[in-house]
Amino acid sequence: MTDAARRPRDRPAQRPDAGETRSLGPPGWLRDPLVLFLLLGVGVFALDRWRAGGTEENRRIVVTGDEVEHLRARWTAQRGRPPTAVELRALIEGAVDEEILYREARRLGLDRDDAIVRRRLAQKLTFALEEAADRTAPSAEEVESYFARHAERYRRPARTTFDHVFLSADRRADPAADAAALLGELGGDGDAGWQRLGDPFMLARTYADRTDPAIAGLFGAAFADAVSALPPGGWRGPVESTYGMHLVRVRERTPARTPRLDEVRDRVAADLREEHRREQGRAAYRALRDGYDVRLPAEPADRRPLGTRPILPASAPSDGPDAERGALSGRQ
Amino acid sequence: MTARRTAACLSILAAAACGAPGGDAEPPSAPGRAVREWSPPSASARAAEPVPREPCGHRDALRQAFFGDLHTHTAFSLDALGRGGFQTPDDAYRFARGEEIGLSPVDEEGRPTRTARLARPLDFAAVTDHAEWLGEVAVCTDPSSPAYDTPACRGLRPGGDDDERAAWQADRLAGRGPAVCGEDGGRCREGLLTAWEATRAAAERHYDRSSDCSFTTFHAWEYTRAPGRSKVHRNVVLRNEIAPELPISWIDADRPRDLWTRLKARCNDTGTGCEALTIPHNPNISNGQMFTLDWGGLPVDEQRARAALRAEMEPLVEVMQAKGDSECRRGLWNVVGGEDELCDFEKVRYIDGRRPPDCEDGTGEGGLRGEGCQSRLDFVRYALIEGLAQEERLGVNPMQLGLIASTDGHNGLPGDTDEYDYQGHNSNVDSDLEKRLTTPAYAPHPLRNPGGLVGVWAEENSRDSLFDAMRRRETFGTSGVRIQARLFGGWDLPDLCASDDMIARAYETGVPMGGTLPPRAGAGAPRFFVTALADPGTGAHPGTPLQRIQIVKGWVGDDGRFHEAVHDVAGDADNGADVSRDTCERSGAGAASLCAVWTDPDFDPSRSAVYYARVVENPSCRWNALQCAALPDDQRPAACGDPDLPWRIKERAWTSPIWYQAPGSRESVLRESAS
Repeated sequence: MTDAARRPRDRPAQRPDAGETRSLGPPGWLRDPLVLFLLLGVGVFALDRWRAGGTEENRRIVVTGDEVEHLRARWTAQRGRPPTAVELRALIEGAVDEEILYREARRLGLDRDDAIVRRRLAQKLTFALEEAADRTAPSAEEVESYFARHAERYRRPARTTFDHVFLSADRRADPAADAAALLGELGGDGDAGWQRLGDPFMLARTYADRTDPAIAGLFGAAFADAVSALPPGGWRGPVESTYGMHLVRVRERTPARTPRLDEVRDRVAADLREEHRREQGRAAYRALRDGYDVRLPAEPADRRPLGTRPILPASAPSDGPDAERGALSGRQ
Repeated sequence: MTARRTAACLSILAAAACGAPGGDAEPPSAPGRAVREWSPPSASARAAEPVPREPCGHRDALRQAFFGDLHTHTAFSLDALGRGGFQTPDDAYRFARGEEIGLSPVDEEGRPTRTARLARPLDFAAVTDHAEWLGEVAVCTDPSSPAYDTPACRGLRPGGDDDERAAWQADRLAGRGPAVCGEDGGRCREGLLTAWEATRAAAERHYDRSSDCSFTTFHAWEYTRAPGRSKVHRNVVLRNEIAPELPISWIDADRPRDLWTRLKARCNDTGTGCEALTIPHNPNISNGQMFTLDWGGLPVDEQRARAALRAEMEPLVEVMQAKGDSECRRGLWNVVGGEDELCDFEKVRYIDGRRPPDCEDGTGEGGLRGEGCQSRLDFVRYALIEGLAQEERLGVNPMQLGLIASTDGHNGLPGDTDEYDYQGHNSNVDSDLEKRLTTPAYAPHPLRNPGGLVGVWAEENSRDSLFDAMRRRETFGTSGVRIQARLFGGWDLPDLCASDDMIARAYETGVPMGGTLPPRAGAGAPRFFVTALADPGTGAHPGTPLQRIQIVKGWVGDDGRFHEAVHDVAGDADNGADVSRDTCERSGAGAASLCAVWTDPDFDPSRSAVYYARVVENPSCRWNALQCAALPDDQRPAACGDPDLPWRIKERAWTSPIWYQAPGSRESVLRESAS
């Protein structure tokens, strides 16, 4: 939780600027954490404005020992020696001056025209809105529906189980011809001695349940492409790899498939929670925005709110738990 | 609460995460430097059963090569943040698994202007952010933190002015500075916990516990000690998700052995299922401090205990990474043997023919400023021989190190090692070719490289299987390519290259790399079976054929000097292969696979020795030549024509060694000390 959300809730809710009041919804609305948060935020804002009018507390400036130490350390780091008593007094006075000017500037609203201050405050609130999101676990129905909408993301790749007989390009003058000749010997499926055929090789003779990229990693991309096109059953080939020629017997191929929900439920639920967090942040923003009368020029620029307009280049993936967050981080 | 803390990108605190003031490698830390343990100190790991996982569908008892990267930084690292990085540990793992991620610089709208995608996803990765100031970064990038707007935090973040940077430096030098961390350091302790837990959560999220076993992550961090601005950095890698409460930095564990004793106390010796190992990197910038065992004068028992601690906790070393090769170098003090011209590879500590002075048997300082002497112990080959020398004295080999390589990239791109696709490792600092060719640094950017990969021979792609392999050192490093290399040793190895089941028989008749030969029976010399496959590359970028396999032998001579011998055992050094500088076209024949069984012709049974294999590709273009060649003449940066810049490389793989222990080297010492 942010500091803002922790503040006491003893001030009346009030629209920040317009002065008009607005009904906040049906009975029970207070149980909605989002509404509650917004209400608190508005309360804090109101409190601030009320204070700015000038209470005694607001006109009191207390310099703590920590702050003095800090001034001293900074001076020391800059000058290579600690400040004298006179210098330290001047530093403290300077800090007090700054605090007074800061408060008066805010009271006059000078912060509102400052692009940096505005951006920082807006960013703080964006984070706060996301952090305030409801963290309860999504229901089974919600998970199901999310899974149905994003099934593609959880798709399982095709996998192949195959045997191969290797003929080395380093050891043979014409491995392709040798392979073609050997294919006749292999004939049917019942050839028990196939593991003795071909050339000695560092890799295995049988690979189970490999994805196409994994096969490409072992034997090269062209080999993986060729094997993925072979029908299951008997020996085929020759198929060329980085290392030579291969006779290949595909034993089994599992096509790419969408898993059942129960196979990936935890991952789906985690992704959904993350989406909720972002959505609620956006919804909170939209609720705020609804309170404003926004008028745009005839040909508006892309003024969709943060979180709904694209942040990453179109080619970049937008899913994954931190895609958006990572991009936000790079914003300033 | 944490990932967003990577907000903000501006200039850089050059020394921040990498250079810290300090003292000597072993004995006492520099006076006056604040070493502050957290209050309360990090809790030890809590006993737990590892999270259950499905058995892997692709398990192979004869082991298969998995490729990974055990050294990657994200913007959780202070220096990465300072260079304009914004990647999170999640981003790094997504990249390793083949997803596209954005890179700096960002445009006015905050959108990344570059993207990166790995042509071949990795099998495993570890995000190793600097433990030093990890908590401070978390505090100072959290807009809701009370410290966020302090001058020290503004100075920590990119964009701070001079005063603010001075404030951060002052705060930092106080150990855990009160401005950022609060008087008791509590704020940074909490920040560290948050960042560490976010890092761990990312590792958990991306670890595939299904039977697909498509990707493995490790919980890890970097311990970034730099006494006298010499690197003695180490990565800490954990077996599984059972971890100490907080990562350990040099701020709370001054010297490497303090790190090891704390790791034992909080992890390995807790009986909780927690297990850590450490992997040093960049001895090439350590001015001899990484492997100089500065314990002379201590009682022998104490020396032996220290050697044993080191041996127990540190089974591996990074032989190559973005900031250069650390295998070997020619012409070092008291090293004798033939000329090994292949040592002239990715060296960062010389250009224009200049090279640093030799430390001889001492150490120096200043590597992180590009200064100070260079020791033979800055190179792994000679550290391995030093290990033999120490074993002869102490009965314990403190540096029985297996070899790996990794990237040490600082923009969340684990395994991004393709020369043709190298986009730099430091965000805004090296984001275009001109910058990569000209940016000076202690390791000048034109002399840096895309980094290496670690290969692990394991039964399956799971944490336990990979970690067991790292423990037994059945690993290899590559200069970034995906050569697969295996080395076995034994006394009676048959002609395995002609065998139908060469690997099964190699395990039956020999020891795999990382191991020690069994005691010698008979009068023979040790035999080694070495075999390697060329990198198949991808459809768009086929790999380069192999040129040869070499076996490198090291030992301490009767003269007390370090001896090296390099033997070509397969392939052909004179195969005539070459590459064009203008087009980067490769020419000439090479091998798709190589195999040899080799017997040491100069074996001296009275001398312990260490053997490892180096597998070398035909020549290819270095990244600078590839990227310059890809541009029209009139668009090439002037530095493309720099005659001093290496442009042709021979990519390679290094296997972990196999050790021969001379009879008496261990037993006699132990007997002597017992009496």
